[in-house]
Amino acid sequence: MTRVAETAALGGAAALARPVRARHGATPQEGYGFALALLAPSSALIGALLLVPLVLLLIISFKSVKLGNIALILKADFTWGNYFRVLSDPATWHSLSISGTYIAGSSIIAFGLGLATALILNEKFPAQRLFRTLILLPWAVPGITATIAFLWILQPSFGVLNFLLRTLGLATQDINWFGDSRLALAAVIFPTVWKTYPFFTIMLLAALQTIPRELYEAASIDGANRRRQFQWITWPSIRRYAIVALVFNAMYVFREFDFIYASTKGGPQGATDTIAIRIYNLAFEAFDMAAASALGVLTFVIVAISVLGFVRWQMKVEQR
Amino acid sequence: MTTAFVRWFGLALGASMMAGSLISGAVAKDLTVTTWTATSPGLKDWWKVIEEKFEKANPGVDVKIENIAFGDYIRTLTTRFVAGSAPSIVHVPLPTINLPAWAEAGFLKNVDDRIAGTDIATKWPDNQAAMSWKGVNYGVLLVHYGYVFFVNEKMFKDAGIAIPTNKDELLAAAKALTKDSKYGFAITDDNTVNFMRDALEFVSGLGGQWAKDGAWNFTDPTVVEAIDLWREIGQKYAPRGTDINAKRQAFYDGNVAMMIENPSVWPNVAAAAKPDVVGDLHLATMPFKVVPGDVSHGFSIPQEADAETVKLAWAFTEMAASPDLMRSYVELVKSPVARPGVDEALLKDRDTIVIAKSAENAQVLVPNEYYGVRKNYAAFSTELTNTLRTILQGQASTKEALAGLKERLNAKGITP
Repeated sequence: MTRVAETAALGGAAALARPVRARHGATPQEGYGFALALLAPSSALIGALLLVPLVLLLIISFKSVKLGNIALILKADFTWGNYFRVLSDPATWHSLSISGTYIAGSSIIAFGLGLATALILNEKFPAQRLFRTLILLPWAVPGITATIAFLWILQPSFGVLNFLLRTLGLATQDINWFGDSRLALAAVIFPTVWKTYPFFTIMLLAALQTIPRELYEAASIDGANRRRQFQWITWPSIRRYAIVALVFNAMYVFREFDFIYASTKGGPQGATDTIAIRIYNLAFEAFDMAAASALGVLTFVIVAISVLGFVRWQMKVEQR
Repeated sequence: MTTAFVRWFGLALGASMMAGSLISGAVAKDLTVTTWTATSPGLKDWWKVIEEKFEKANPGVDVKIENIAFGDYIRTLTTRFVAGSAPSIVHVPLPTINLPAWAEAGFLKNVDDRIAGTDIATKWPDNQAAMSWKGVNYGVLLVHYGYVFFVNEKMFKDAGIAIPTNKDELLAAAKALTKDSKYGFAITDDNTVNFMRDALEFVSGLGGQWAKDGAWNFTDPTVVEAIDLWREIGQKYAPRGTDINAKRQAFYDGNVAMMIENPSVWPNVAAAAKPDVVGDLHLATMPFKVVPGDVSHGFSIPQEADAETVKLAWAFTEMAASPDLMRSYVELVKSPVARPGVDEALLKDRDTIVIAKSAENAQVLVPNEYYGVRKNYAAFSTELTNTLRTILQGQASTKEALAGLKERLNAKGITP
């Protein structure tokens, strides 16, 4: 007790002697220690949840055992073989091209829909708030609910879509959306677009609302029609937001697994075998954890390089 | 004072932990069984029977039946094996295809010595081989069965035709009953192994052998004829894009007159069929000269289990394979079992008698000695499924497509 009182007294004296010196005036070493102590619990948690699985994934990808107990895997020899195996397999490149098509297809259509709905919702009209809520609804629907709904909608013989097509005379026989290799990719893009376009709507609507109305009034006085206004005012103002939204959406879609697996399992004939599906099938159908891990690491690298490249490009655009 | 407090506190904590562990050890030993069937009709009741009986016979043991959805089952179990946290007993769903990878990875315990002392060694059918890999038994098979022919008798009666007894009658009936938004037959038409399974039922049923003398035999005329029949029925007289659940539901709803399924589906009919349809749904003898069959439900013990768990797990397995529990399985699940001579419960009813008879001479779709197929099942099933999809889409002649399959499998180094 005495010691504590003495320390407090000394501290108090010091404070009295140098009243100007505030907390930020502490030496860097003291400040870092305090900051590190505050950060430690959350850092440890993030480390456990994020870094440990990643490190484990990296280790497994370099081990010569395809499947085994983790203790056995850790003891196994180091090898580059899994990476060679994955990279020399044409199925990997096929999956990459399917992923590319899936991302491009779903992102472009969803972006178009999102932009259109954002432009509409940016206008003033009756029940605007209600329509904003309704248009954003697909984003709030849980993935599993959307999956089940679309599986039934697209069911060839008993589904609503084919029923409508038959009734309208647009189809003479049942179209097997998920079972026909020529249609399956489009069939999985369709629900993905439905699920993701509200994200673009939200992002672009927020961007649209930052544009001053005066710009449009001035353009209108100058004789610019709607198309010109969009070209010279709207698009330049929302372009940065649009690109960020596209990148975020692409990353989201790249890892999409649930709907594709539930509807096609990567088939038919590999038509929907995206990278995410291929990793899963390698691990739990072919029981080749090592190759699945190697492909997982490569995917991580591809995404990281793409994002870094995008950030650098974006910074250059900003500097212009 | 502080030091004394810390010392006493530490001692008290240590003592209470030790006492706690001793008490918990004395009170209960958990025996965890993972399955995907804990909520399935029939099976859920059987699990209760064995759980109660085993706990009564082994005081202090708490049997925990842990349900994992079928779609997640293999993934979850494999992950748990890798992580070293396997259950005490593993319920193996489809031993022919699930067991080899787990056995090769060293996840399962060799039970040869334990089987040697029981009547499993002498009485069990040859299909016990599905639970073995490279000559070693990794568990005990509980069920083997023949596929059965599900028919909607009212649809036949209304059309004035008899239940088919051969392939020609099957095709004719499928054609006659496909009208007014109803279908004569149902196949699984998705991208799972069930799609391939349904096609192979036709091949085995017509007596085709897709592998012979260690080589692929897909272009054999009987195999081609069987796949042609499957294609014609699937293309013209069956609903499209039906996964296994949609296929069964179409039958339960009275939208389909016939389907081929495993007998474990039969207990679901009463619960899932429409009330005005359920009375019309029955089982009939397969319209093929050979009854295609399969195996399922094996019990294995994980390699990592400690001695006490292994002892209990084996006792549980033996109890499951005992005449009493096998008889109970037959009664509750309406399925034939691996143990011979306990299926009398099936012989009392016109439908379940079909189940019993079908099991007698059933020939498994993937013979247990096809080690190449079993080991490379994912690659094999992908190639075969892709080929069957091409055939069903009508993009190629059956014989050419099957010849291409043979070439691709050989090129990949996959042999039967």
